[in-house]
Amino acid sequence: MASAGSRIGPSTVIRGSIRGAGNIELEGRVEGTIDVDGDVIVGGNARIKSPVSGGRVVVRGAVAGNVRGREAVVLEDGARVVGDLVAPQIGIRPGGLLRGHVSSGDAFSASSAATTPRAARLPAKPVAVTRAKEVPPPPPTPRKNEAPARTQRATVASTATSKLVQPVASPLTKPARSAPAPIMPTLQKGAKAALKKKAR
Amino acid sequence: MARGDSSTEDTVIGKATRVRGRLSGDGHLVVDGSVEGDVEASAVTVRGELQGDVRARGVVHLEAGAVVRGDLHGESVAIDEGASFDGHLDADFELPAELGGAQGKRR
Amino acid sequence: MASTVIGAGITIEGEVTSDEDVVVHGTVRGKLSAKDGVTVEHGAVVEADVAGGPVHVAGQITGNITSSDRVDLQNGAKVVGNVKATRITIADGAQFKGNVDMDV
Repeated sequence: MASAGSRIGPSTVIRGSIRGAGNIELEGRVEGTIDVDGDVIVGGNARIKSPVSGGRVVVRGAVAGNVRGREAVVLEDGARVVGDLVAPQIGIRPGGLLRGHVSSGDAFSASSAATTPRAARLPAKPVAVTRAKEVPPPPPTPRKNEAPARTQRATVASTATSKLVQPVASPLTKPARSAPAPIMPTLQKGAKAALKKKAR
Repeated sequence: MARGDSSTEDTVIGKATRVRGRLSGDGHLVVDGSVEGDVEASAVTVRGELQGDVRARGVVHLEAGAVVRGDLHGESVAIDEGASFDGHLDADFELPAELGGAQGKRR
Repeated sequence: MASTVIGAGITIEGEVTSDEDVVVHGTVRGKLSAKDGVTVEHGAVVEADVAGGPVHVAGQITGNITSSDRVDLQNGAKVVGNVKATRITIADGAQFKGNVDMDV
C-alpha cells in the first residue's frame, strides 16, 4: 500500500472537507469539498457531491460538482459528471458523460469566448487561431505572480496553470488579456547595431 | 452553405483550408484546417481549428492538436487529452438519486 | 471487506461513517463512526468522538470512544476522553485521561 495513499471505501460516507497531500481513491460517498495535492481517482461506484481538485483527476463514477486538475482531468467510461472541467489537459473517453463547461489547453487560457454572447462570438475579421503546439511561451506578465509556489510547470500551458488559482466556483472567469505577444520580439535600441558589429 | 455528400464518403476540410460560414451535411466531417462557423454532420472529427458549435447525430471526436471553441452535441463525444477545448457539453444522462437524479439535468 | 484508509497527509473535517474497517494515519476532526474496526495509527490525530467495533489506538484521540467490542491503547497512544467498551487494554507507555465504562 502506498504510504501516502488514501482510499475511501464503497460503504464509507464523508460529510465535510477532505484535503491534504497524497493520492486518494474515492469509492464511497462524499458531500463537501475535496482538494488534495496528489492524484484523485473517482471510482465507478463513487457518488461525489463536491467540487474535486487534484493533480491528475480520473473520473469513472458520478460527480455533481466542478472538477479541477492541476495536471489533467480525464473522464473515462462510466463517468457521469454535472459540473465544469478545468485543467491544462482534459480527456473524455467514449462513455464518459458530461453536462457542463470544459476549459483545456490553449483555448482555456485565451480570451473569454465562452462568456461572450453567441452572436458576438464570430469575429468580423478572420481570427488568428494558432495550433496548440505552435504557440510560443507567453511573455512574463503580472499574472504569473498569482501562481502558487507549488505549481511550477514550466510548459506552454504555464498561463493555463496560473488560471487555476481562480476560485473553483467561477471557472468561467477569465482575466482580461492584452494582445497576444508578437512572435518576433521587438529589438531593443542599439541591438541591431550590436548584431551588425558581431557579424563583421 | 456547403453541403457534404449524403453518402459514406468523408468530407475533409484540408489543413490549408479555411472555412467561414456554416457547414452541414449527412456524412462524416473531418476538419484538418480551420472552420469558423457552426457545423452539423452525422459524425465530426476535428484535428484542426474550429470556432463554432458542433452538432453530430453520432460521434464528435476532438483529436490531439485540435483547437476548438464552441459547444459540442452528439450521441457520443470524445476529447483526446492533447486537444484544446473551450465550450459546453450537454450529454443526456441522469445522476444517481443521491446526487440529485433528474435534477442534475439542465442547470 | 477492504478498509477505508485515511493517509498520513490527509485531513478530514466533518463526519466519517463506514460499514468497513477504518484506518487513520492522518487527521480526522469531527466524528468517526464505523460498524467494523477503527485503527488510529501512530502519528494519526483524531479530534472526534469515535464509535466502532474494536478500536486500536497507537496515535492520538481527543474525544469519546464507544466500542461494541474491545479498545486497545498501545504504547505511544494518547487518549483524552471517556471509553465505553466490553474490554480494554492500556499498554505500558500509553497515555490516557478519562473514564472507562465496561458496563459491569
